Amino acid sequence: MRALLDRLPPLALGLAALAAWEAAVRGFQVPHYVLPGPLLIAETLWRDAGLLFGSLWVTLRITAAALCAAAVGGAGLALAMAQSRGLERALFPYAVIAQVTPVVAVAPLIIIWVDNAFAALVLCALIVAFFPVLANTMAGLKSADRNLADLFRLYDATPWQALRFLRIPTAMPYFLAGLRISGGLALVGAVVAEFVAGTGGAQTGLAYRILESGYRLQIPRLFAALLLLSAAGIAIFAALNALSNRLLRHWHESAEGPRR
Amino acid sequence: MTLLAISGVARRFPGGTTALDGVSLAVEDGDFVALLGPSGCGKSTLLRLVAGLDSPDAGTIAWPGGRPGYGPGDIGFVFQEPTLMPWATLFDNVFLPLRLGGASRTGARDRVRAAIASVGLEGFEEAWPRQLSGGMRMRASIARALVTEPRLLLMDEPFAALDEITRFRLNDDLLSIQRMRGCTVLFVTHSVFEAVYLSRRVAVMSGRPGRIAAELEVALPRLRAPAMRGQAEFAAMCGQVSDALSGASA
Repeated sequence: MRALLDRLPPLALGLAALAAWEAAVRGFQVPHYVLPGPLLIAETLWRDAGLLFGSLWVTLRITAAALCAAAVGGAGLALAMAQSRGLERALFPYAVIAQVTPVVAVAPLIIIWVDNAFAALVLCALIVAFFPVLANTMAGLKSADRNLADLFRLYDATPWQALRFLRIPTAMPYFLAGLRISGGLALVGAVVAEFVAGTGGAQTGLAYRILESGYRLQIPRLFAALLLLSAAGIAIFAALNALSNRLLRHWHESAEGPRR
Repeated sequence: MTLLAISGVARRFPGGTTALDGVSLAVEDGDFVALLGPSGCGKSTLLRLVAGLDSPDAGTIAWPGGRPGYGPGDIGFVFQEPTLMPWATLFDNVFLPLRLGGASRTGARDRVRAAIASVGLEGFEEAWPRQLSGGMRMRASIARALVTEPRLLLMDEPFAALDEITRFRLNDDLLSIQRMRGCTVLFVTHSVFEAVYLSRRVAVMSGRPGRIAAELEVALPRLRAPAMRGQAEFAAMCGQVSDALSGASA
């Protein structure tokens, strides 16, 4: 009941806004190729479901592959850098360069260089999604409690034991926070890469549908594709949030867990 | 028998602070020694040196009888904060020293359970640190230090952050644990009452640079009981230690 009451205000506001939108479109007789009403968008989504969900699937596969690669690669590279100052000094500037270079600018090159269109798009999305996981995990690996670190030294812990029982658990919340940022970025990266690839890409993700609909003035379909894209972003965020809460539920303040 | 002989120890930190200068102290096997002094007098630094977490710039820290089977686990350390791993259950926190020594979970189960029971936390093995109260967390921290059955227990103001009622109870529990185990305790505190109630000997430290200003035998029956806190002998002893403390800082 309480939860229902909490959700009532945003729901009511959303519905009111949609109703106002529909009314405005009808009242001012706005042509649907300028601004379609929500009902028409919903109808288009239903009619073109096969096409649009197929495209959603393409974009989601690129996003998921990029996110997994960012998680494994980012955490792995952070672990490697944590082992050696020299390695950190050598590699980190290049990670920063990859992060600050706009992906729109390098995507055409990647698409030319990499034969496999799927791999090229994943690589573009990966460049965008990679850094938050890397930077956060690095910070986490360095954040072990000093007294606990002393305790590990007192008991002659090996570097491997200190890593496994102290530094990796300490880094977990940082890693998961980075992953939540990367989830959204992977989707953005996938969309940007698809835009750049355009018809050059053999596969047709949601971003390509948006471009195509724009060219053809099928604005309701453009909105429907946009709607799916937002929904996908929200779902990714919610899923990563749930993962984080699940893994940290017993101990970290960021997770909802049992309390005294 | 002398367990630990500290002689002429000095420690300077980069930047020119002299934390300790010419500190000498002998700790007998089975003794309970309190290191008493104001904040910043180098008590914690001395404890870290004894634990081998830091090295002195001058002087020696010797173990005349040898640290039997010298190695990890001969020294237990309790910090001012409970310093538990929040991601591990109470059992796993207490198991940590044995795990780092290469013990298996099943092999160590009885010892871990015994250590948890010795601080009165049986039944909380699977609890997470954030479910425990401050006093229970400190008990868990003591159980972790005891699990290797150390010869020497180093305690760095372990009860300073607790309320007085909890502190009194933990004082008594610590005394009975020490009686049962027969381990030696070096206990850092800034409370005169706590120093007198717990220890057989009080080493009063002065600060900047830290040195031992006075050593006093606590002239009270060896077996301490809560009722003693109100007795005249106890008050007189506290007065004596307080005088030594103000003499040291003058």
